Amino acid sequence: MTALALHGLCKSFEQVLALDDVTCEVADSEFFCVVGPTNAGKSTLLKTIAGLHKPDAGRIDICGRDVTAEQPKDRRVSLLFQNIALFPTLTGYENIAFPLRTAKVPETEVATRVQEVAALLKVEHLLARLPKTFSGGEQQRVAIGRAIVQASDLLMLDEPLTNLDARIRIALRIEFKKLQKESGQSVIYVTHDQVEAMSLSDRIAVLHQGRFQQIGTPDGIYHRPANRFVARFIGTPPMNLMEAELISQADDPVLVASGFRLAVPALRGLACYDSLPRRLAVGVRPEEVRVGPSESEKTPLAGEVFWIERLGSKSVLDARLGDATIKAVVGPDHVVSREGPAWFGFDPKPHYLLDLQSEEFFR
Amino acid sequence: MIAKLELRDLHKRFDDVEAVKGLSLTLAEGEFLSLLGPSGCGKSTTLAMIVGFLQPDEGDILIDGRSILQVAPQRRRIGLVFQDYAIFTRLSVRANLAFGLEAQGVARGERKRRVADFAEQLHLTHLLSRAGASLNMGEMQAVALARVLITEPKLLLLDEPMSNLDAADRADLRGELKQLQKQLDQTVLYVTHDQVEAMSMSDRIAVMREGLIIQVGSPEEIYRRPANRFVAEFIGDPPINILPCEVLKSGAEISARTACHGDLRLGKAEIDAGEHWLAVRPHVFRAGYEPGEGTTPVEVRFVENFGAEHVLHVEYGDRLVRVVVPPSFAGNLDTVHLGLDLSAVHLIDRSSENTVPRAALGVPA
Repeated sequence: MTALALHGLCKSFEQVLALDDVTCEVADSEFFCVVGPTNAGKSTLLKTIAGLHKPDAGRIDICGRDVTAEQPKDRRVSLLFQNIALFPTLTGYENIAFPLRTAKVPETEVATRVQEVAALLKVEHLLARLPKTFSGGEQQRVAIGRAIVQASDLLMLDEPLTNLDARIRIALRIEFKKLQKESGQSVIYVTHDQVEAMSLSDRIAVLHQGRFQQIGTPDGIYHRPANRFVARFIGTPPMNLMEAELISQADDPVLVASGFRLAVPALRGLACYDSLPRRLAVGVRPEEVRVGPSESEKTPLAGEVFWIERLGSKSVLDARLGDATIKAVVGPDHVVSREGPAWFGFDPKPHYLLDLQSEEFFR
Repeated sequence: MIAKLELRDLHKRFDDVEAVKGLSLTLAEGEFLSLLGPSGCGKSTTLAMIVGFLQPDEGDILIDGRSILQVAPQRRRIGLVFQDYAIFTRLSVRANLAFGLEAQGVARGERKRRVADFAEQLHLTHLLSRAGASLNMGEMQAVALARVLITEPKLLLLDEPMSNLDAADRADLRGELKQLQKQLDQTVLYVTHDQVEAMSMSDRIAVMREGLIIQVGSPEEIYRRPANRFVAEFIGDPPINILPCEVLKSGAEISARTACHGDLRLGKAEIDAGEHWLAVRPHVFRAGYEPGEGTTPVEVRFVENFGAEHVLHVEYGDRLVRVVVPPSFAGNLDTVHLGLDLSAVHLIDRSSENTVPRAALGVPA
């Protein structure tokens, strides 16, 4: 069963194309994240699905019904905005009960539903209190309660954690995940934070300039990004992309740049191997870069560490490798622990070769 | 242009709320210090007092040994960069950089020269002719920073300057900011609730809670030797696990009875027997497919995938704990065997919430 299907959705505001041929399907009970930078079109997408914007072209199906021409209230979706707007004169209970009372649900059922939701979100202690006495995280949980108290075919959340402190964000992220698993609710979750997208989603859609750049599982997006934008946007620190020349030496493919010269026989496995251009870029994730204090088989490349970010559980090294700058992630007790000369190694993967013209990875 | 900043016993009250309750702190010349704490802890109030937007009720603020409380904000020679990029979007980057110098009465030719030099030093030369409005967020914040730094402030204050940036821009700007600070030998007070920013850039971190500084130290000290439960939980990503335990004493030696790992011998420590906590970083647990020495089988409830590492949420007694595993670890396991590195476990006194130093078994305290 499909909770949501978008077919060729387009939306412009004056001269700006906010949504450009957006097509996707969200399965029933799926947690689907739309992730992208500011102005990617994320909020426009949600508002269009909810019916607050009318698309210029395309169709929206919710649970198999074409709702493109329906009023927002008839679409059976709920939308939670980034800015929490609780009714300040209503208690926690009355805030959560609001959608049910508007729908004229009998009071006994309202009481049962509110209690259930409050228990799930751990806000029982807030039911009798007014929002001004809630902390930021508590306000957000009550707002989530109001959004989910009435069963909907699709729950849409627009950056629900953005305004919160880092610690509350992590705690609520976990609660979201548990909540959605337990309730089986279909969710579209919009965020600019790739960590949230990676950790919460069944699938991720990366949105940039109104277009879906790639849709896939967190593993698929992380390990097989489609293009430069996805490779750099997903993962911290971002993927290193170094320009190189591909030459052939004794019939072996060799990648050459000022900082490295690596024979990579595995490149032959690429379907488009014979048509690869001479100039391209090679990608390597920072955690895949090997670092050593001296030259070795595993670390044959001389470079220089010029800055170390110590994050406690790991350290990020910024280093120069020839005229390229790269980042490498190492453990907190790594032998290379200060700025200066160091040795590096990495194994270029065939699917991490980037076409400099199209900015897409070769497949 | 390096200055020393001293905050002496600062107090500030708003109606019935005491926002800052006796805060003392010294920044050495050229030091990068982060004031780290959750929202509402008083860090922005502290900043506002240093800038001069607020007068403290008690205490003193000194730059290079001289009190600045009677000095007007614009004469304190303090540079300030906020979360929202304060740049003139209708002016070019060049005009943005020249603005502060013009306000200081620097002559035209000198202005031109300094803008060109400074832009080169900050790698902004390619942006000079662009209009502020045409920059992306990362560039805007870099220009906002440059237009403050070019005026050669004695002290640079940064208030959550990266909150509006994407992850990749943040990672880049962290590196650039730190390089720049070292290069200019600038004294910096950096206010943030983001422990990654504090950990990655600071010479020292001051952790703040409810109007007070509760620990000051290098990032490594704060991470490896948190003074109390609050600091332990605030620093580190993913967050530390707090496990209830029962401390048993046998002479000076203590052990901790845990839900899943039996009685752990922790050496010597000053603590009463009874209910306390163990704080265990998610990296300190070892997860394996097979049973090993000292391991316990635990059930995996769900997994967070971060690409470079995965976080297992496993059942530990009546709660879930986080365990970091590499992405190569098979993703769909129901049960894993959990071991524990005792040398990196913190014992926290339940009544005081302070970390209890322990010495023994060659275990670092």
